[in-house]
Amino acid sequence: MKKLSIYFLFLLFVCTSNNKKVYKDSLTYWCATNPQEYQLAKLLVEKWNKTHTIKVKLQPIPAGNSSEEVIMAAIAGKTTPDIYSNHWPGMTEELRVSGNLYCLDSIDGALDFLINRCGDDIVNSFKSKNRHLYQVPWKVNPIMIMYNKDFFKRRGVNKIPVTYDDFLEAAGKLTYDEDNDGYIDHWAGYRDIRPLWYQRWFDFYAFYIAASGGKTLFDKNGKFNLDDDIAIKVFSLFKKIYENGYFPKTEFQNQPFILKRVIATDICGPWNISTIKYFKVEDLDYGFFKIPVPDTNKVKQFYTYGDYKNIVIFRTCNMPDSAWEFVKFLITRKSDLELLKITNQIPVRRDLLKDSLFIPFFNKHKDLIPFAKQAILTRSINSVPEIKEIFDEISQQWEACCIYGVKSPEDAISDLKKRVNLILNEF
Amino acid sequence: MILDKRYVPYLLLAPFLIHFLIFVIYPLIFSLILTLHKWNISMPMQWIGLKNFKRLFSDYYFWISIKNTLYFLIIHIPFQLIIALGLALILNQKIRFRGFARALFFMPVVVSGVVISILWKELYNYESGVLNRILVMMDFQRIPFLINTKWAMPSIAIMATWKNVGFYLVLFLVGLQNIPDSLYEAAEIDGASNWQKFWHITIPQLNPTILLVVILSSINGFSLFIEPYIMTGGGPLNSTLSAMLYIYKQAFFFNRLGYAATLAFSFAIILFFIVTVQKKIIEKEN
Repeated sequence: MKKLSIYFLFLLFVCTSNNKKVYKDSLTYWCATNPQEYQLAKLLVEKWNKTHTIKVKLQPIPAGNSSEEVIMAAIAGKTTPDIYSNHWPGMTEELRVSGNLYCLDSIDGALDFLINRCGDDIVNSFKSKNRHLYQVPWKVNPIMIMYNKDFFKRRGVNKIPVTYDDFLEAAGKLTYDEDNDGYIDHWAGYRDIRPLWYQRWFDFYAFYIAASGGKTLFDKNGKFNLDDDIAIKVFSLFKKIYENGYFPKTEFQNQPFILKRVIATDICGPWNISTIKYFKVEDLDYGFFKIPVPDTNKVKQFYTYGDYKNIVIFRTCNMPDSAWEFVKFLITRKSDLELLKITNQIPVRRDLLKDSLFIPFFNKHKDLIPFAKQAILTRSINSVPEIKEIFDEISQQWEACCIYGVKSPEDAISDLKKRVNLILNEF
Repeated sequence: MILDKRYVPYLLLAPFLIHFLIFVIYPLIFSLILTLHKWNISMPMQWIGLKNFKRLFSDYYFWISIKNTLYFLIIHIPFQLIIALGLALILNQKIRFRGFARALFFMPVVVSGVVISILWKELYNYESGVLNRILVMMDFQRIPFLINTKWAMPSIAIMATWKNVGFYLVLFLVGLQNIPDSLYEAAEIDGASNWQKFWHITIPQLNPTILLVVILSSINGFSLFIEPYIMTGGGPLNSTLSAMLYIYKQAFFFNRLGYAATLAFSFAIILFFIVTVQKKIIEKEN
């Protein structure tokens, strides 16, 4: 029995001991799992490893429901990588407060380097509550509206909608019953109607940012600062859209329906261009326009929501200076060109369309130019630990007011503010 | 090596006990501890005493999710019971293709819930779903299966019944085959009609199976998650926000693990209470 116990304890020791190899002179880098981003990361890591003594070990982020969930699990298990490049900005504050992220402006020259690359406006918008920077703005999918040019022509819409009135007028013409069976079969647009918090980034939040000239939900001091007037205008617009049936109250499984010519417009990022190529619907004559605003006289610049993915260095990294050197390598001009070529995603770079290195690329890929222009006029999600819950509440009010029309926009915004106050202060 | 005989039973039980301790007892105790803490994984746990329970009682969505789950059970259990029993009675007869039919009804049980939810979501689609197309072809109005507060939960209950009925059908078949033929023969000699035989022999004899089906359906009903998660996201207007979906949202969307554990414990207590009442009522009738 004694021997058996010893065997058992030995087995337990073997099973529980950390068998992870320790690479003293290497950095661990997690990238996104999608094939294009993995291809890009592999290429860049190979290039880096050829010329540097401190090697980088690349690994796609482990499988999970979402990358945020995996990062949380890695923090709990103390297995975070040194560098991570698919970081969702909404999570930064939570990780910063818990002491998991490396402060980038504590590295000599890092802040100047990033301001030079992205511009003051963008860098400042990513600073944390304590006014320090913990993330590198890397790439962005600016949200715009894709439209089917033939569809517009066929239905007599000759003007690109700029204001809400333009949009509603166009939507009325673009929504119709083709086979005269009494049911609409073509719509002006479509949005997922389920009350899912992240779906509101692409309708409410994009329209709110545009209408407010670049405001987000929180001010610089981290105080919830919703502009009631603007929010009510956005809610009112979508309430009219659903009341008039310009967007269907349903959920289509096989997106995007703009490719099937069922809908005339689609609120999207540059990913739709890759989808068109993937589904080989190159005969679709499409264009992009900016998110409409209530009144053009009050909006000087057309901002929109930017779906950002950033790079962070974790505090578990024992070579932060080397990690920063690698991060700098990931965002060089040449690396950014590879990012554009391989993934068709827009690097956060202020001089993108003027830089001689990128001009030939954009000459070949003209459909990406609107996104490159829009990229510098984007706002991300505020980095507040309760941000998901706040967007969930926006979704609840959105559903009640805009989709099912059981509340007025004024009541919905008033209820939203009460609930957000509860989330931020009492829960 | 000769083992002391006293240790042999423990050694044989060890695999189960180790599994039970690690995967049942440890999470249970950890969840109980969590109910008294605020924890978002990335930060250390913060002791907050009974604040999670205080929040629970004033949480509008908690009460909605209880109401929705109970509503689902009220539709789902009788529906499941009647259909499973009806099918079992038919498939217990000597009919052609009996084996094939039994396999056919059991098939949805083994298919992934996600796949089934996606398929039914398409079937129910208001604009392009097959069911609504058929209704329009027959000159009926379309039904807003998943986008109307009155229709959404019954639609999910119908789908859940379709998915699970095969399992309960098997339970009823086993129950039916265990009823001694002599009871029916004696009843026939006494001149009992088919209805009398069903009401006075089949139903009482199936009582333990009915109890099992009701309890299992209740437990499954409280686990309702995949269907609303995939098909409605809890909408329209929270009419399909189930207990599990709400726990999931709190735990994995909002990282409020302490509050999610409190919800889970509260739902478990409610479920325990419901099952106890069901057991009392059904056993009393017996």
